[in-house]
Amino acid sequence: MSNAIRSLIRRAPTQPALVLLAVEALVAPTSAQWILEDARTEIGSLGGGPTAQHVITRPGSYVLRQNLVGVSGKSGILVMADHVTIDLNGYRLEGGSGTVHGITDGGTGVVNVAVMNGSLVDWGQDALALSNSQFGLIDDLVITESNQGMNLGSDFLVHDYSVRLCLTDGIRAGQGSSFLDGSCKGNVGHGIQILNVPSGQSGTLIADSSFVENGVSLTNGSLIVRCDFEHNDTNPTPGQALCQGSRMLVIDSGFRAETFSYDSYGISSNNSCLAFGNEFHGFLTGILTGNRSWIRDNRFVACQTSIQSIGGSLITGNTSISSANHYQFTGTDSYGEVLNVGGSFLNDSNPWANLKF
Amino acid sequence: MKIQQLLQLFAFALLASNTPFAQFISQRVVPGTETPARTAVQRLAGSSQALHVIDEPGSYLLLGNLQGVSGKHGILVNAPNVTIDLMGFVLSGTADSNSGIAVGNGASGLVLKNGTITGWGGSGVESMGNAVQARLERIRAIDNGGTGLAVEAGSSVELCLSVRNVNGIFAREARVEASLASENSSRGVWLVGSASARRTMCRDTGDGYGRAFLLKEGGSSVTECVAAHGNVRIESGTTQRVARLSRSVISGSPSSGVQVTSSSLIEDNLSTGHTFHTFHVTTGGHHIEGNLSTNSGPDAFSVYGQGVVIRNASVGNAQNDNWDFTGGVAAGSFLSAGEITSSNGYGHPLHY
Repeated sequence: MSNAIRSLIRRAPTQPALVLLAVEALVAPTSAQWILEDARTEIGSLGGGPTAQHVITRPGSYVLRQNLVGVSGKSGILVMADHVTIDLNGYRLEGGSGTVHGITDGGTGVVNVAVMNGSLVDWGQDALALSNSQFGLIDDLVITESNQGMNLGSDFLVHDYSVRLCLTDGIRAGQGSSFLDGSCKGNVGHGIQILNVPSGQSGTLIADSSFVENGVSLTNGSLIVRCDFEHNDTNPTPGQALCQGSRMLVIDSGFRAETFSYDSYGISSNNSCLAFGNEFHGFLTGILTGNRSWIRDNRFVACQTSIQSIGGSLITGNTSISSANHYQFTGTDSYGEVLNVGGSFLNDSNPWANLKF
Repeated sequence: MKIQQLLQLFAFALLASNTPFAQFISQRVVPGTETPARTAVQRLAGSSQALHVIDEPGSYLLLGNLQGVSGKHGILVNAPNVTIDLMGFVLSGTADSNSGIAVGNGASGLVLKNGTITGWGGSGVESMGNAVQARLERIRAIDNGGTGLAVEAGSSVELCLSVRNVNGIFAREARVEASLASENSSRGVWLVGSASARRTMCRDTGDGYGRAFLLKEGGSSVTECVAAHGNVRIESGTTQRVARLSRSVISGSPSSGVQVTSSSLIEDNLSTGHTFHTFHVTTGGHHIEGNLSTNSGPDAFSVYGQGVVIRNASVGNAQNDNWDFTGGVAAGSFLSAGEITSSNGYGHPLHY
């Protein structure tokens, strides 16, 4: 330490203004501002462990001040405390060959972790491995080219997210999570897959999001609203944009296929699906539904089959245009009359009718 | 070590002290800017009520976690137009402390963002009727002894988590958007007056009835929300102040899915997997349309009173018992399988 710095420290209690001027003269203004206003712990200053480059052991607020480059055989950041906020501050956690997770709970599970404002790239396993954790906030995060994007426990609020080009799923999560205002693109597995739901209703909410070249797989009790699904010609079970959901509500969403060969289904629902206000274009089957569903007021264009039901459902008020087969209903379905428009005026007043032309 | 890093450490050390220099520096003007630096909450004096009291409008921030003490609030806000940035830090209370943040008389326009409020004996954010025109953003309220987050007229709660409290979020004539309120022991989201919840998740709420969303005094709305292992209850409204539940999923309640005791508009919802009714309406003034009801107890639609019930669908409920209308309900006719081609578009499609 230089004599000048020693002198500053000695004089600080008695001559604060002088010391302040000296500090400001030596430090760039932008740096001075965060020195004086930002008391968060710099992640780069944290020690590491056998499995991670940096370990968080106490509740609090942590911030990245520069990009973090991964090390083979280790995760980037290990979170071992509840109530932790990690602000990536616009910086990047960059993995590389042999790395493990970008940020992980180490499999122990913590409560209330927030990760925001940055990107995670090229991690060998999960970019964000919080599968044993509960109650989290993920905001303004970009994840690309990792083995898996996010692996979350239950009750996460995920907002402003982008997960692209991961080798398995973009996002896996447990029950009670929401995914708002984001996108998943080109992940080899699902865009989002809900797993590990103990029983009953998973309670997933997905709104205002897009899924391109990867679909969504749900469990019970889900709401999908204003989402776009395009070219879901990879997994799950090639070509299902939205699948395996029972007891789900799908509203005002768009489903667009690339080819019949790969984009099999827009929605493949087990049972109890209420879907209205959606548009389907170019699928082998627009909606394949199990029983107890109500498919109403949707629009289907240029599908091989627009709606196929295995029975026990209600199909009313849909429109099918330029599809090879408009409707395949079984004897146990209830469905509105199918009106063939054929360029003439409609002559049937049945409001439950389905239309084809 | 570079001289700049050394100076940074030096400045932090000074801030952590309670010297006149630290107090001076916490309220200084940032060089090169026209705006005053934010005031550190930890530098503010306390009172018999709170660890720290904000008496002046302005911008405040936390410089570290704040630990509560017995019998006091963490921060008491007694001035209007105050912004507090928790900077990701944690306000931790104790079982016998009061609330994390208390909003005092006249403290309108509070902006509170980015941090955790946990373990307080009282609420996370206690409105005391004063948190009008407030904005709560990215706040996580967890394990508090009262309500997690409470706001009043003209306020908003966005991107917040309020979990494992007694009540999750209380909003009187305020807006809740894109938030999560789960595992609260009484209510998840409690809306009063012209309040609204949108794109919000409630899972596993308690008090024996699973009230994920409680709408009181009419005029409130729940739109595009999910209540999982919980239900929605609408009460204490009037014919002039109608509550609205729309485009939402209500599933797995240990009671009835949607309980209605006042005027309401209920449309385009999926109500499924409940122990008892999917829709249980005990008063008039309702309009119920476009809902799907499945996998629940008998009398799935149990509706009493003068109102309108049209164009819903019900299937797969216990004993194949879908409807119980009494007391002057104006309901569509009942259509069974095979009758759907009827021209009565306001019938109730019913199929087994």
